[in-house]
Amino acid sequence: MTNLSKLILPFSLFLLMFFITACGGDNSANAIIVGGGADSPQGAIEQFLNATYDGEVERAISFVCNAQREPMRLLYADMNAAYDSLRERDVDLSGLIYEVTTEEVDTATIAITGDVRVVIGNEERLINVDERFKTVNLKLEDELWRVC
Amino acid sequence: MKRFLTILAIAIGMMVSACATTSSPAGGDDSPQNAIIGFLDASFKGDQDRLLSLTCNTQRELVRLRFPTTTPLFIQSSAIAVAFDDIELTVTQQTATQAYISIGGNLQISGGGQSAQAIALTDILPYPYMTAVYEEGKWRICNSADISLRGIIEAGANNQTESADALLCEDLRGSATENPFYQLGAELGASADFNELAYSVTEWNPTNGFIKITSGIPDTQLNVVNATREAGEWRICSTPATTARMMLELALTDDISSASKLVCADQRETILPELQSLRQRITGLVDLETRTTNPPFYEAVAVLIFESAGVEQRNLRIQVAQVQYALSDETDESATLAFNGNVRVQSIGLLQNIPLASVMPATANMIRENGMWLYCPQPASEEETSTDA
Repeated sequence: MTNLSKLILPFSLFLLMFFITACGGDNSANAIIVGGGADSPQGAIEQFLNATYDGEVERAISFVCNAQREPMRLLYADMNAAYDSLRERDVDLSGLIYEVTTEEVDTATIAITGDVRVVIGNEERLINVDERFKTVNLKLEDELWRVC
Repeated sequence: MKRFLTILAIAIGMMVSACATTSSPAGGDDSPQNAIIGFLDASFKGDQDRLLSLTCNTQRELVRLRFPTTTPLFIQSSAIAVAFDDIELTVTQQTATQAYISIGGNLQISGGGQSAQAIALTDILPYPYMTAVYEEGKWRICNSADISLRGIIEAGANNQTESADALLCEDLRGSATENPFYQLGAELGASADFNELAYSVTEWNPTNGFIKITSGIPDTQLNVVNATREAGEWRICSTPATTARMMLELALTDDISSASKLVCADQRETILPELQSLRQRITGLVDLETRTTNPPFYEAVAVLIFESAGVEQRNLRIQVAQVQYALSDETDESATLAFNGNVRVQSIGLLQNIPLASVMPATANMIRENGMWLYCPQPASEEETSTDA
């Protein structure tokens, strides 16, 4: 492929998206979406969590593997009530600890432990994530790490 | 340098006035060709606002949703220049509200330290044509299924059976004059303002879906129809399975009026309460305390966010994509349809499958009227017997 052909690729992909992909429904998970990811598995997880808590769904989606982007977009369309309420709270993710438990050439797993600290007014609440995020899978796609 | 090598307009009919709207157009261009060039140019430049203004109403949200994730890669494109002088855009069919444009010729791409290179437009487009619609006083790019339905209606208004037949799927070809949408066009007449008709499109997958006419037609008119792609182009179609799926989806989104038009007229009154209560009956079977096992990470994080926000999440999404429709005793005019499989009920942190047979009859009769399949669950003979009794 020539350099110019490579440059034109994203444009072609966009046009393919417009002309071929579905608006939703059963095959929408196969939609072609390009771009995004992080240089390390831990970076992908951290940036994903920061973006989701900030309510920046499109940025968060860029750290998710292609196959899960459309389902995530659909699911997060129902998050307005949560994001509205989150605006009245301070959330601190600095108490989370990320440990890479396995790393191969193009896959990795991470365990997330620790607490999410939520403060509303004078009240503080700690939500422990040790049990729910024992194994988070990541995948190397387009030479970037994405949660999958 | 000439802008187009060939522009040939073959109008297949009707010089219907299309300038009804007085509202300010949200965007678009003065000809289908210029709309295409503007769309391509905006795509290259990553100019989302212009791209959206050149996209038809039914697909604007799709483009808005898809575009942001492609933006980072468009930055590369800023290093290149694209000339459209050598592309060929030929309007092969044009009506008051739509145009088919065949695509040919080359884009001239320069930049990246290289001299200009010709790249065939057909190499980067999935089909050798594009379609445009005329709405709000401007031409906009549209690859939406409704373009074929618009064509059938307008062909009906102008008594152009051949044109309408070409927009029907293979199974229905030759039946244009019976088609309810062709007949709708005939009733509206050639002087109707077709801009009054608004459409929405639901694509189940890249080759199948359905169109709903959302305004501008009589309340009694059938307003939903299946569309399928044949050789890349959307064609209006009808099968027992697509009728059943449309009816379920419309009922589940509380569009009971449209759903009931897919039921045969003599059973509509009986079936109406079933359609009205369908969503409620399904949600009544959901165990809200059962959480999804091993949800994907993004969903587990969504649950965590709801927990952090102190908000209970119970917005149930009901999907029928997994339902299977088995046909038996099929003739040209009738068939028996069996509902198999599950309805998927999903919320954040919750996914359950409910057998459709638990809320719908296990089998139902389907009949065909004017080429369109209708849901007609009670066999005619039984009904006649009961009426006689």
